[in-house]
Amino acid sequence: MQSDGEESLLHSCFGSLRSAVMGCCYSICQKETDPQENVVNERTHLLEVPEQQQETPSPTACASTPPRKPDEQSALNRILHETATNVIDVGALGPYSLEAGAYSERVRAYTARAATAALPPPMPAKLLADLPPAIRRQVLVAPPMTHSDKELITNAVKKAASAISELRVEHHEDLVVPFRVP
Amino acid sequence: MEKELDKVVEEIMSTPNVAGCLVADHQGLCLASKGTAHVDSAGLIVALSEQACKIEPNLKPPTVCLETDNKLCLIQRHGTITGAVFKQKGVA
Repeated sequence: MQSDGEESLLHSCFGSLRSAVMGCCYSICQKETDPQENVVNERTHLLEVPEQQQETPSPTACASTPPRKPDEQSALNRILHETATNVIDVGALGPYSLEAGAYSERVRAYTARAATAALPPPMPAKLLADLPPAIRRQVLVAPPMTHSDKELITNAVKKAASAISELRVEHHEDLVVPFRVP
Repeated sequence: MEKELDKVVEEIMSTPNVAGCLVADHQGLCLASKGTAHVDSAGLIVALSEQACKIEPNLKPPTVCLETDNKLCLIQRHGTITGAVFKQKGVA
């Protein structure tokens, strides 16, 4: 029957909406707050479920078998439509493209704004720069390294290499120890 | 284990005008660093000395000298160990 099919479809929609929109179903099925309170919080029931039809606390049971009442249809519809208007489906928006006129107008506006911003031109990174020829000749003619410096580094590295070659592990205890479990 | 190496590094640091010293292995792992030498520069120093060795592969490893106005950095390789010494330029 069409109404049954519609009803079951609505119920399944409602079930998935409820789990998505309202978080844990368990908090809805549980009646921990005073029902006489008029404060709207996360625990207020969206549907007025009467006392005699209260379900036993069970999240899956709540989601799959909501209490069946005729005036629930309108409430379900209301919730469904409210959520549909609030939900923004980003995936279904499709490709966004500007019209030619809007595009050129934006180009003009942005270039005007950029011109008024007056940023200094970015400095090119100067890691290695060629020296002018005069200084270059001077530097290349100068002695490369003093003899004492050369001696210093050569001796230093030789001594360090020999010190490292003497690195060895000092055995103090046995590495392998038998477990003596009584 | 590294007492000997520490002694050598201390000896280098006690040389006049030396501001920093670094020793690294052939893979760029810093084995010792002292003074102004930064631990992270070990890889760079080893790479520099490796490339310098490729200029004349038949000769023994060259000494790389990086100079600025006031300081210089001497890098040399011996076997698998590369050492670098940072020092102030002597008053000329």
